[in-house]
Amino acid sequence: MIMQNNQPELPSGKDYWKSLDSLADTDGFKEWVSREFPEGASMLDGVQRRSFVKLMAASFGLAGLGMTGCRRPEQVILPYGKSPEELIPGVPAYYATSQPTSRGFQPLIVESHQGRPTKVEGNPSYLPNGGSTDVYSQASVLDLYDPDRAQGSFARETLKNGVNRWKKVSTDSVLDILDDEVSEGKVAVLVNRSHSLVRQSLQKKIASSGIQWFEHDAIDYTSAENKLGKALGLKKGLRAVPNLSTAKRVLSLDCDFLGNRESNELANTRAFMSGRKVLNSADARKMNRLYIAESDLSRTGGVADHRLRVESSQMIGFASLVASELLSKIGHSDQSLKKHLKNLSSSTNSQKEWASEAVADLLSNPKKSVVLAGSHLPAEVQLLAYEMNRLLGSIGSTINYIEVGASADSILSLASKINNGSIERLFILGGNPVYQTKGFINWEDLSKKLKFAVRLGGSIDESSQIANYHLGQSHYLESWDLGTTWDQSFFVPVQPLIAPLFDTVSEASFLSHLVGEKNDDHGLVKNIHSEYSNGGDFEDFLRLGVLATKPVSFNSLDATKALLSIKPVEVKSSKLTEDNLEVVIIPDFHAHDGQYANNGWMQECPDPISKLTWDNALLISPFLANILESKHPGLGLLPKPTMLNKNGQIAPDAAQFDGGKQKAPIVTVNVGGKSITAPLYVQPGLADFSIIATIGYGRSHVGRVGRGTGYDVTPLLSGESLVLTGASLQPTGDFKILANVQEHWSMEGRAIVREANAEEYISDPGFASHMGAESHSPPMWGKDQNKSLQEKATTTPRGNSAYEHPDHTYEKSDVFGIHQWGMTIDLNQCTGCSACVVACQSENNIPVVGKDQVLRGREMHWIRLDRYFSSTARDGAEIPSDVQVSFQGVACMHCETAPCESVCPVNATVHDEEGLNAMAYNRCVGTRYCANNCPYKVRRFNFFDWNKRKTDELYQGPLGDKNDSSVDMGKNPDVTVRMRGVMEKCTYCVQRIQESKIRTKVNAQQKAKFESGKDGSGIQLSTQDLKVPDGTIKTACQQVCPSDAIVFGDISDPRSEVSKLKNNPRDYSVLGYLNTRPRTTFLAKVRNPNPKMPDFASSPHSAREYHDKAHPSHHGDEHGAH
Amino acid sequence: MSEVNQAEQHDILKKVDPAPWKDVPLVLNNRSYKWVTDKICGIVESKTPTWWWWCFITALCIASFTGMGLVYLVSTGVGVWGNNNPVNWGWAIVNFVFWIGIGHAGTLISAVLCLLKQKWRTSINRASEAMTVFAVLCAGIFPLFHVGRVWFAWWLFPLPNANAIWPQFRSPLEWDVFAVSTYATVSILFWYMGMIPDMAVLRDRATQTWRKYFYGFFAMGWRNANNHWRNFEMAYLLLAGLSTPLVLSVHTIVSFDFAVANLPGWHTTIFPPYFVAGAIFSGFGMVLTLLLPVRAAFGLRDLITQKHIDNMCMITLATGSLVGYAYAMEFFIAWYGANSYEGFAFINRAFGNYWWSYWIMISCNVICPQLFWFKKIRENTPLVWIISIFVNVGMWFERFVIANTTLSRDFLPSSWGYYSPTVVDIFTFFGTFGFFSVLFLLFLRFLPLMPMCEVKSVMPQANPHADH
Repeated sequence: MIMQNNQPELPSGKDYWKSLDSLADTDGFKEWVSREFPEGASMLDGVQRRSFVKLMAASFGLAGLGMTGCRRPEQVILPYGKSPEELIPGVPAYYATSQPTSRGFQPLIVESHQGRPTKVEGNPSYLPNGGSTDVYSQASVLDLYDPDRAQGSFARETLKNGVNRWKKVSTDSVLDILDDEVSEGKVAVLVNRSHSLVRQSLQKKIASSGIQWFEHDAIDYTSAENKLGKALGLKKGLRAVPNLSTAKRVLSLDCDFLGNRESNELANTRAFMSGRKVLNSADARKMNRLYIAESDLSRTGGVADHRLRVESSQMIGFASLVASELLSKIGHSDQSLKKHLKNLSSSTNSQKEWASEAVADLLSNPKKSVVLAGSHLPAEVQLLAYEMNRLLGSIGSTINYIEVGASADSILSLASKINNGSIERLFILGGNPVYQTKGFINWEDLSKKLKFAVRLGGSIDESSQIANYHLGQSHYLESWDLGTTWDQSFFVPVQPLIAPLFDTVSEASFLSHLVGEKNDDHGLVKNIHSEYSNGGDFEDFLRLGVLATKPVSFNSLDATKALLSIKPVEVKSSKLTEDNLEVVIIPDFHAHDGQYANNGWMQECPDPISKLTWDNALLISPFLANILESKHPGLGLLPKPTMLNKNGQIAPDAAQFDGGKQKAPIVTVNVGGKSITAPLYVQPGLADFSIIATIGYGRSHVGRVGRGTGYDVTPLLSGESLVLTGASLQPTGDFKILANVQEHWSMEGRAIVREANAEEYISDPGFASHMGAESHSPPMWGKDQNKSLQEKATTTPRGNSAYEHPDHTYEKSDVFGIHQWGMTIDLNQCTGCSACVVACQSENNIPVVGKDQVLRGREMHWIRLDRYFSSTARDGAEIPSDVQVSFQGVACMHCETAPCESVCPVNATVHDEEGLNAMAYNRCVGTRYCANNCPYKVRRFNFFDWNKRKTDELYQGPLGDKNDSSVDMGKNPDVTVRMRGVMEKCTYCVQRIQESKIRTKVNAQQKAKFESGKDGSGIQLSTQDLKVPDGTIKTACQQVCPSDAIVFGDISDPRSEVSKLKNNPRDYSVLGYLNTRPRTTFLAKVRNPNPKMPDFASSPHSAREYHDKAHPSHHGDEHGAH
Repeated sequence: MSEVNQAEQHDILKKVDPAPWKDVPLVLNNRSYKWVTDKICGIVESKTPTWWWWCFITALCIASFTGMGLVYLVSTGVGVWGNNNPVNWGWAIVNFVFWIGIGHAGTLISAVLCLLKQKWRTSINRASEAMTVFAVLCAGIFPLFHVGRVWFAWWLFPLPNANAIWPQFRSPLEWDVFAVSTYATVSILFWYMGMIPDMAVLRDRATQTWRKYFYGFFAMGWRNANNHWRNFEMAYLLLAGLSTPLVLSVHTIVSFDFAVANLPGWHTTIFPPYFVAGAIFSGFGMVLTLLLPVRAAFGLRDLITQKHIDNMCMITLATGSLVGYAYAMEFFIAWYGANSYEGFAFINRAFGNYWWSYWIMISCNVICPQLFWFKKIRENTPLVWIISIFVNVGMWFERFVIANTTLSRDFLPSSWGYYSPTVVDIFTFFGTFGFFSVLFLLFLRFLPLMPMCEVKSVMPQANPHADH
């Protein structure tokens, strides 16, 4: 049931509880509210408060030594005094809303329990995303309950030692002061980029009132459209929106269109990966193919069929090379253009064969191929990509260019205006511009010139430090707004699910206050809706959460002239060497541009490629690492090869691990007179001379979660390109310990992720079953091998085993489950986006353990994303440069003959009649035997009271601080919060299964009542009525997956989606030879390389590694000379 | 072959001059019964030596580490140890198996050697049994406290309850509960029963009232009657018979903790015999470690003779070689089995991330005991003592190697990890040596450390036909 919020119902503050005391509205509570957050918990020096709390805890602990400590804590539950409408206690309500991001508004459905938003889902009504979300939307709900939020408004007081203290003031009083200041004039607003129509409409009014408007984003997703528009001589931006569902061949020029470096990630993923869904050989023949030339190893690069490592600064040359190949192949008549492009591409001739064959392949699929350029690349590349798409006939079919408004004035002009005194009052809304621009703007000087500054932000951050007042900004789940999706095809609302928890204001309220509008946010949104909807119903809009619109399309334009104007001198950068490196600055996976730096879920969600948590690092190539190692002996970047490495038993680690902890040498990077120090991380797959640096870490004013994490790259920024050249590295001799959750990168020739090329798949669709130890052993199911999946699931025959298994067939047992749950994960669909990891964390109340505990190998994720690299035949002691990436999501496999169940001495983990490997937390005593015996290592142990204790005080036991209770408000009440000492793991979202089963039963009963006219015991329900229809239950990981890689359902129903997939010949069990008979199986990966390409390999590298290990004699014959 | 007549026989014997066959006496220097009684009882009855107090207080302090470690563990969480996700069992289980292994020699000496009529056992069996009991107590600490919620550990016992939930009888850990508790019970019983006649001697010699009551209570009214002796010997024999399979079963079942799991390096059928051999090996190592200082401290050279030391050294040598054979056989089977996971597990043991622990194990367990082939070394008591310590260290590392190399690198390379202990791990384990020493020192001080009656029974005086 999707609901909408009605503004008039919004109760006054005290009806929405902050704590139970607030219901009583005691004086003590009032005092607590005003004193608990006097300067913002995060802003306080820390010493006094912490030591006070410690003392308190110690004295409580001592008190607890008496018998009083043995009592259960008293807890009080109060019923609603006034029951809200349409709210059934225990039944969650769902609201359509959206998350405003710099990549467009993300349409969402948010689950709310008794007025508390707990879980974010994608809105399936927005078809391009199909109900999926990215990892950030999943994590955003945690920000709502972040105890380090700005819980109201604050006035800055600077102490004598220069430290800022923040004094709590009422938001209304700040707004009053603001009115006076605005009337003084010389006012400017600095905002982050947004796709809000509310802002757009207010912006016009603001401009007319004489307030100047500036925008800034460190990671500017709109930069490509502005560069392209400008290069083509348009007054507007020209946004490239790929339509990849029809694309057969994609060439990406450093464009991470499936990742967080580009917009439209979800729609791109969904559309592109649907072209890689291979269920039969016809699909394999139609499979799309991805070529990518990139400097970083992005997630897109991980999916690619052909990957070329090219430094980002060389991309103009490379794009020209591709374009000139294209021109000559299509017989373009313009000789001058051809010559010009040849000139431009002269430095990249070594990649000619790769480019030539890739272009030939693009051309062989007319109108079904597309060239995409990374948004960080200069206008020249944007232009070249545009022109190539035009020549390929892709515009209108695989890519659309839409006209968008030109960008606002930049932060640089704001700085100069402040400097010359034409701006004296500044309002900084959203984003975090001071942090992001401190590399090229001297805010200390500017702030002295400003007479008045107000910061509106979610937390007191770097940008607040120059402001006189910090206004707490409402979270999007507390605000009204209306905006467009990135592709501008839909309007989506932002509707609040909860009244602001604190004394905060939304951006819309703030802006409308600036122009003196008295309309409330709700009214504002409603007005704008009526403006765009042609009289559509607002309530319907809120219920559906989307409203279709038409973006302004663009009539294509010949870019030859613009191309000819590219000057070779501008693009001819000097050759990169180890003393002239390039630095590519990209958004961080965890922190994005810094806004998620205080989000524990994001901090702990491993980077899909590097697998780092809680930190960022400078990524360099193995090639560069070897050079550095030889230049600075003892740098400690690469570990010395061990005996196992030298004799080829296992691949070397990519880094030095000391007791399982990655020891990364710290270096200084110098670029153009600016420098930073940061730890190094060797990343296979990087372009030789690229350094990949991520923005968003090393923040100086951040909450407790983000404090002390990562290094800050912003001092290197220049305000122009994010690709900097002329960099050099100098080791400092120091080391930093990095929390890497996956120490080993190679699959070691084990048939874990099974892969084949499309050609191989066509000739042998069952290739996956010919791999692994089980392919050499008698069939695991013995004589039952050929029984149907349904029979295998319901009768659980034991093959040739001497032991009989209980018969669970419906006729023979009263505990027969009417469903048999199972899951498939299509490895061909996974891009490694990791949204499943955070979705699972949000759904299942999975605690955050902190960097220290991750270093000890105690992360708690129920689903983890394994990432393996494989390469061409390699020297055992070398880290490869060119790698293929394989992702594999691994959660509890719910084995039919589960190794964990038989070893639990107390029966805490048992099989249920529907095939779930259930975990009875209450029964678990924590022997951890199950986790040892799990071959998939998916069980997670609560080594500490993660939920109860603060992560930095875990070792203080009962004397440690209790966790902030505000985080508890975001917990899913349908899932047990586990205490220390118990084991936990994936349950296939059993709470969702139960909810659906109950609902199905209730529906069936009501239907039977209605049809039979009987009541109560008179009703007979058949098994069929109680079966939950296929597709009703979606596990959290499945729901969030943009490419539908995860399918869950009833395998006893031969028509269910999951049954069909399990009957696909690509289906296999990981470690099948152990006879664990997992209910989660995988669909083997199919790659689609082009045989004509120079880097073509007839089998995926991992498959070759497997065959080399499984049949070493063959290998020996071929390489007998070694 | 022709008959040899009497006269010729005499000539032949004269010509070859055979050495007279004579058993090496088990008690040297023609000691009398009284001397034995005075010697053994004297240890208990004399004034407490100063060194004992120093040792006792030191041991108590060391034992407190375990106490503090466990308080911290229970109040805070298993996280205070170094365990992590791939290596969910760290030192705790290593220590458990280590101590249980040590507990094997006592029962072997008292039960198996008793059934095999090995007379030399008599002067060492009491102390070994005491060692067994104390080692099992130390061992019991670890599986009990390694669980996440120790306050619910009683759920491992099959107690009837309202929820009708029973323990899981398929779990080797559940078998451990029965195996270890049975072993502990029988060992204590055996130990105590053997002590009854000696308690009576102490009771009878006691001058202080509390001693009279103390030993009198535990002597259970022993009056040295003929029927007492008859019942005693029958009961002793029965208990010996009962304990003998336990010697094999306990470590077999402990080995099942590993062998029943499906992990490469654990899932092998060689584990039960190999664990039993290893347990006897480590048990004898510990007996040597304990008794050689006791022998020196209390001047027991006449009772624990070179023959005893020789025998123990030879058993150590034999079991050490067996263990070495098992190590080799594991490698052979890993190769012969052609399972790549298994093959890697063993290569990884020897050359992987814990290679050092493997080679410590090999040098201590396989190479060190080979020195016992040489009589000179067996007769060099300090050296025997040092080698026995190496045996103990090696056997601890054996369990460490088995538990950790397999867990740290099993099936999926993505989940490989590394385990290192924390300070709490180290001190908790270290403290158990203190705990063990406290108990052993109390034993030395208050209980007869040798079965006087049994020692006497192997003395020449006990043999009425000795002179024939």
